[in-house]
Amino acid sequence: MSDDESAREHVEYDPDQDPEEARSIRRQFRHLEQQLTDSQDLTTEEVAEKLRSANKLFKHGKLIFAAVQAINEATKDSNLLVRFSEISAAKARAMKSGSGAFDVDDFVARLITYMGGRKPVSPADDEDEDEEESEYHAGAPLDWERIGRRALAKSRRVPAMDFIRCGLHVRRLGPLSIEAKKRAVAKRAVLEKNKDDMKKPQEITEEDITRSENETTKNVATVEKILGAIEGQVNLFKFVINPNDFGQSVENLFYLSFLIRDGKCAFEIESETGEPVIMLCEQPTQEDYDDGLLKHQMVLEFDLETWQRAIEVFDIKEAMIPPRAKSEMRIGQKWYG
Amino acid sequence: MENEREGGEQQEIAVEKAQQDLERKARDLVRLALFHEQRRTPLKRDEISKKVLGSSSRSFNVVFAAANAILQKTFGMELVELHSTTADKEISEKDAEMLKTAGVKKKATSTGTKNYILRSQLDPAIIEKALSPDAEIRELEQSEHPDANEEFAEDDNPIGTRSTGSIFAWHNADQLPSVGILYVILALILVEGRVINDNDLRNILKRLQLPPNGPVPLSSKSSTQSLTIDAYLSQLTRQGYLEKHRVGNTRAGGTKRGRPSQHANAANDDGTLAAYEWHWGPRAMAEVGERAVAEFVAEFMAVRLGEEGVDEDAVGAPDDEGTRKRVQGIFKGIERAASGAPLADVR
Repeated sequence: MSDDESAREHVEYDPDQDPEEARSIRRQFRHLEQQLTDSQDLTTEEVAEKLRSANKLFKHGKLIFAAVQAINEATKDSNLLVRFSEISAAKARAMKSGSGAFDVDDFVARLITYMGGRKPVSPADDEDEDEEESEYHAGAPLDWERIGRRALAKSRRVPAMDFIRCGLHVRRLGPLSIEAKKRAVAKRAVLEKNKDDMKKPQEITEEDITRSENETTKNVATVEKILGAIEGQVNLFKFVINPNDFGQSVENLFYLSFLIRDGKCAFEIESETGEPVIMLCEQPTQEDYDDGLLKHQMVLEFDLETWQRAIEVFDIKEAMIPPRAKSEMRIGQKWYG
Repeated sequence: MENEREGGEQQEIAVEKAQQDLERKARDLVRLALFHEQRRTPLKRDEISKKVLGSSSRSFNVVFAAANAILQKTFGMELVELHSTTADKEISEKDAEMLKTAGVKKKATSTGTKNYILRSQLDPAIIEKALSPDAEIRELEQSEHPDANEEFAEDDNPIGTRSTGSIFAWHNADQLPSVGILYVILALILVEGRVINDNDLRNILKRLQLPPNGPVPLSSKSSTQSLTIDAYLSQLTRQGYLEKHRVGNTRAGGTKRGRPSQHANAANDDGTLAAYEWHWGPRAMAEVGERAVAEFVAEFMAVRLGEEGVDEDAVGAPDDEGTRKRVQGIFKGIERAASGAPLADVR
């Protein structure tokens, strides 16, 4: 009998199997199928248990396993396996979708998509699942700013702004620094040392100013004397111009202006020749002013060109006012001439 | 009588002087804290004593409280002490369960590090709202500064120039992308069981286009010229956001969740490379905390990309029931993934 059994174990297909046995197997298969079809809510454990009992069924004496010979039974057998695998897959999906463990790889993949590394796959594109992988643009840089904003929305991080540049608060904010104070002190010490070498602007005292004042008065008096020595009137330009020295000419005009201001010298345009002439005269008295005598002002522009032209026009050959030595005005410690 | 009055007056003057002195010290501490926060380096208690308190080192608590009052009122910030991370880890899963069921609060052990940082004191709801995109504000911004982009017209680095119209204009103030990278790293460490193997982290970073010598995206306004990922990780460690341990160092090194790619090569005498692992640093615990990072991840995962009606710039998850359920489910998953003690809030 045992020989027969072992012999039968190796037989794959035996259409002549005992019909009673065949019926029994079919019944048990149907039973299992029904259990799997009806109860959708089998837990993983229960599914495993069913699989085990099916296996026991198959292994029972190895007879039944070996008895799966008729095509009928074989069909039922594969159906059962399909059912098992379907349920297992569903269980696996359920685990992924959140009722179970956290999937880090999924997290990373989503980050890449979110930051622009991939085109997002909308639910409608599920059919194109094969193309999902090929749409990954490996070169596209990820937009980390996007995820940064999401992170900050949950964080208590404070912005590290450059307060020191904020004009309003410049004095109040900024680092406390003992070191900074030390540096300031050091700088001042250096300054002290070089004081002696330092140049100070010239200090002008009252003395200096007085001296130059005296000089002007003297010169005006001289000009007055010379003018007085001339009888009648004289051409203005002939009088002030020194054909050899523009500077002296200007000074002469300057000193003359004092005389005119004081009313000691009169200025006229000669009616016949149109020449500007001057002459010494009597100073008007207070009475004259009370009677209505008015003071007039005149601005005479005297530049190099005018000086040269006048020399030409009036054929001025020599100065009527003797040139003065370079005035030595002492201002402070230096002489300005 | 005369003497009494004088004494009273003198007392008043003395009190007033002490008050002024306190106010001045408090302001000094505020300035010092703000200055340190610029570099994200923690402010040490020693420095506070030296630069602010001077001789009156015993007045720390009073000055500290006064400084915080100013910080809160003027800036909406607070100065807080960092806590060391070892205390958290030492609670095993069993103990954590026991504490929870017994209703016992975790003992406030002396975990203070005498290092201080600034953080926002605003309600998290306000913070989230202030980060949310606003089309109106963005329009206003663009109409006010039409030439804003011309300033950098020659340089086509877009980082730091794009605004979503959020009330907090983070794109101007801080380095958004580098912060994004930091928080993703914190998230990865958390979901890998509060510790991640250096190799695993680097592999993930590579997938995210951040190889060790690759550049951290910076804006043109950044004071740093360039920064490699490696250098950035070192900087984050110095600043206290991350901690790097050698495997086999303290307790049983190695991850709590097995990953197929994990190599747990122990440190060696035979010349093989020692492996490192990354943990959260005290600064991360103070600035954001584990719960908030878990929320950040859960809400992010719940986003259905490519779906119509989803605002691309939104910083949270849509507030419908379906989404909320999904978020809760993912959050629980993260809690389990973190393993060990329950997720810690900001501390």
